[in-house]
Amino acid sequence: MIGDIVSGSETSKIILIEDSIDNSGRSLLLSYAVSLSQRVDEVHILLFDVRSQDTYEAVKSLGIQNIRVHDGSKDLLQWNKTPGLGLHTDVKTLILRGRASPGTKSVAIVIDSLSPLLTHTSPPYTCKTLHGLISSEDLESQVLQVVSLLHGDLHDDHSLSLVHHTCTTIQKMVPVTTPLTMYCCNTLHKKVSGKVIRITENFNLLEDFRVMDVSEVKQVTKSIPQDSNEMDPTANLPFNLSLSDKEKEARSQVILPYTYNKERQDSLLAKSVGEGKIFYQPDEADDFDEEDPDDDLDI
Amino acid sequence: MATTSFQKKARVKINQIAGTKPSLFNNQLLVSSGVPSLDNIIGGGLAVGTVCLVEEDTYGNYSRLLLKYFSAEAAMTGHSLVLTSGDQDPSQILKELPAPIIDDPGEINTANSAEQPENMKIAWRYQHLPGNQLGHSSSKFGHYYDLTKVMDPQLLTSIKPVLIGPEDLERGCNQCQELNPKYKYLLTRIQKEIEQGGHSTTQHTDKRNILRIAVHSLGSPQWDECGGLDLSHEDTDFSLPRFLLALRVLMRSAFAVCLITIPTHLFQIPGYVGRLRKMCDTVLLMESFAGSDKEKNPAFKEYHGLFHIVQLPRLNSLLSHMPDTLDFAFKLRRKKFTIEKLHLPPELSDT
Repeated sequence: MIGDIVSGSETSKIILIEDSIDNSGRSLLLSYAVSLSQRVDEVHILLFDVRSQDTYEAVKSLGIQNIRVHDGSKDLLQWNKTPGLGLHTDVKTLILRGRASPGTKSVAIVIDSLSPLLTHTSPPYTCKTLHGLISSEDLESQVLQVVSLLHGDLHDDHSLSLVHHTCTTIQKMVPVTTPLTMYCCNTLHKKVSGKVIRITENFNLLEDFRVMDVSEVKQVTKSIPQDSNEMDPTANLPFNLSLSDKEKEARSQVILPYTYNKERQDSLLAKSVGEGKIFYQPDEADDFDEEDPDDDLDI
Repeated sequence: MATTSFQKKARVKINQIAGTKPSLFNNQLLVSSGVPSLDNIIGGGLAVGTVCLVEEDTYGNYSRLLLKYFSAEAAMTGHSLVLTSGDQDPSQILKELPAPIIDDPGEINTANSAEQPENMKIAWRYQHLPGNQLGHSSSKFGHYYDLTKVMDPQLLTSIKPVLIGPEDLERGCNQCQELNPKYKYLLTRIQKEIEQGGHSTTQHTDKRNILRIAVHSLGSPQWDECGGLDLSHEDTDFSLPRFLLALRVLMRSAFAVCLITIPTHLFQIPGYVGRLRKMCDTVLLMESFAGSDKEKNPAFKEYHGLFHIVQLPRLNSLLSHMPDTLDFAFKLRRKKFTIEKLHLPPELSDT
């Protein structure tokens, strides 16, 4: 899954990489930047973080042509009134101004990181900024994807939940489970069709930040152990409960009492009501006296 | 069962408004929500002049589907529609409305006779009776929709829907002390629509029509709502309950129905969601199994989520409508979306 999202086979408009002190996500962010540079005309990296010099160095060492870096980490809140990127600048006008070639069709934005924005401004402002970046108006070209890094241990759950609500893919860096791989992340991906996929994977990153060796971490689920030798309750009985084939055949031939049967219907209709025969069988206790004491019977 | 030919001898004084019917329990005027199975549960439909709150599921897919059904029902009955969304362009939602299934009464009979069930052995006395009817084909209340097809755009343009998108909200709002500016703007727009369309109860028009207002994902971060918190993160921001109160006041004096979806899972202040619920009339909660542990529970195998009725209104009466059970679940099949009574699958041993 993570390979698909990074390479672009799974489309996702807003990707969030949530990391922490113990599990850094900066390398994954760079791998996104590298992959995006192959797919779009321009990749703009916005630096807000204190440690974003590492990103800057890494990008410079890669030497990819269509990545443009905007450094806003020196004067975030623009107290010195430096021109360029600050927290409150309109990113789109900045990108438009710094555009080298006028004919760019598609743009991608990578943000390192979103934490200063979330700290200094309110969560709705951050969510609106993210949402606004993905729309194509005022930019004259289509924004393919926005990838941002967020330090999960710096913010409270409430702000994080608001940001998660806005993003379509959330990748949380977690401790590695096997010693073979370097990174592990838990991905929550909301597909366009509405399906939601949640998966945890181990992966490696090469020196040019390509994703390799993706393997899924299978959760050990507590399943009820299936009783494989379940006792057949009809096995050890003194009487027979099963039917032989002949008996089954005979059973299917039985005419059920309330079924519609032509012969039965006819016999019911044809039978006249007047006849009723009495069959009397006297036993020893009956006194069958032929005599008539009153003499009024005429037999 | 054959429908009876019994006709109630009632003097119909009020002019019949298209797409409405009086409730069977009290004399409230009801409007279909678009999903007939939902109408059955909440007592026949949504009452005119009320606000229905749908608390969204975690990823918002099913609540958006309910909103689409509501809007599609507006197109089918000819009601006016106001559609608002802060997250996406409302015209995008309108493009995805499901197409109605229009069945011809003649067609139903031939379909039934074509698929004769095999001769019944024991219940042969019932052989000649017709099969299950889908519903009264002559009723104009509650339509069935096919999710695989999209509604004809011409049907929508005939009702002239009013769309308020994120850009309109951004541009139209002015600074306001008591209320979040975007909510204030939405209120003024709704008030304007009610007056212009002649839906207010004080206006006298000869042809009454219902106004349906559908608000998608109110209270999401795109509405400048910080989950109920003030900008300083210390106080509670009461804009949303105030908005709902003002909206309910507007609804009570208009021939209108409002359906709002709110992502209440984003509000973590205790008691805040309770306030929102008290401000609305009908409150429904959709809990989807996507991405949660309940997905693997074998009891919920057939369903896609649980449907909770949180609150039903008491309109001009002492009691609200009480359904016979409160355990409902919904399932989204390829063609339709239904809300059913939750029953567990049969317990079969694995031998």
